[in-house]
Amino acid sequence: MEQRQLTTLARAVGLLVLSIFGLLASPPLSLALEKYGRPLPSMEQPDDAAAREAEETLFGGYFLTAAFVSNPTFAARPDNTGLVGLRHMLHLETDLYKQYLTFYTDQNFFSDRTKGWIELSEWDGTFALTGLVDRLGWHIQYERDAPFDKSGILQAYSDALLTSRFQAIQDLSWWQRTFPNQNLTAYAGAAWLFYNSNYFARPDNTGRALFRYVAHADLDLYKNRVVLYGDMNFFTDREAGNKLNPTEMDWIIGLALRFREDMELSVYREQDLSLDKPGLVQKYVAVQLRYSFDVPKRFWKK
Amino acid sequence: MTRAISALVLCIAFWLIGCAASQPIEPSPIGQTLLGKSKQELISCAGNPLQETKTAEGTVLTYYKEAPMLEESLSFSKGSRSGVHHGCWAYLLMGDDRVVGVEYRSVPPSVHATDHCEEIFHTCVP
Repeated sequence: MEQRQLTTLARAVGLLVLSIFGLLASPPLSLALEKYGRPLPSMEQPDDAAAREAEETLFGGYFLTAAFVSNPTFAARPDNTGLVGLRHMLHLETDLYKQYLTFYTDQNFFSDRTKGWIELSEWDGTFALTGLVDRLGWHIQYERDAPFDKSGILQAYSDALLTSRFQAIQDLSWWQRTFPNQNLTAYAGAAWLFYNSNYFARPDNTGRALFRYVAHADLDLYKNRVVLYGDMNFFTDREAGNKLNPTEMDWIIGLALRFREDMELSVYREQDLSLDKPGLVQKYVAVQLRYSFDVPKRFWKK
Repeated sequence: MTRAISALVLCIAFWLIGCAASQPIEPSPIGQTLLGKSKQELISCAGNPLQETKTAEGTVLTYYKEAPMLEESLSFSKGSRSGVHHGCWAYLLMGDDRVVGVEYRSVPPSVHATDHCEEIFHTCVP
């Protein structure tokens, strides 16, 4: 790939980061508040606040299981051996302090389709603190990807991520008039991998990741029942000459159908490719079922 | 390929810049139609309120709906990225057994979630 093209990409990513900071410096948000008829008395009494908190989430999460219906190259272990057949994951999260501080963990498992589909081949564990202040989201995360059925390369990193969030229904006055049952939510940001033990900068397991740029969009096509989503994730290489230039791009596009409030069927495609030189391209198409659970604080108080 | 990626990243950047000025929220249709309904009508379509508070202005009925977890967090290839826990509180002021005031309040305030209040009352409209 030509140096000129890479410079263009680096500039584009730079502008994206600048625009995020521009967004953060924007005027204060309109409150998400709607009123009709006579004004209500203030409901900010201590008892009311306690009653409200009791209804909010104590902890929640979801189980998911996915079949990689097409997988020519997506590896089943961190050392790039095998091919993923099935994926199972448990996600758990709990608010430690309102929406400002949340803890979550993901325990993700892959099986190897070349070894019978059922036996697990990789275990990826993530532990993170995350939060939101106005439009600004953040997380500090530790992830460890390890082989499960034999010894081999173990990849681990810790990163700090900063993102800025956009909601069309809130930020664009014409959106709700034009699309009352649709919404577009997006965020973009950058992360620094401040700890890195064998977390590579390309899908062919070369280099060592230093920065990460993320961009994500959810297009709610109908009342959060049908959602089209896309995600891009770029890594840079701390061993490369230009440490800001992306060396790997992972993109996902998917369509989720939520046929119940707590159940979702989705189909998605992911492709991970090297940007600065030819190399392994890991890709697959998966069909996934997700089941969520949510325990309000009042259950704990009972 | 790199040009296509650059163009996409640029589009996202300009889009974010374009969103820098926040706009007021347009009113939702169901909230308006609750005005004039009796308490019995409300209970029959939206269920019992979580709380009833007597104030000098009248009784305030309180409802809450939390956004589904599936909306709050998405999974990716080896993990997830958590969204924001959010929901909507609906306060209905009653006068002479009729709804005379409606207030939807998103929590946290930085996330627009009044659509979840609309979900509470979606069976209350014909």
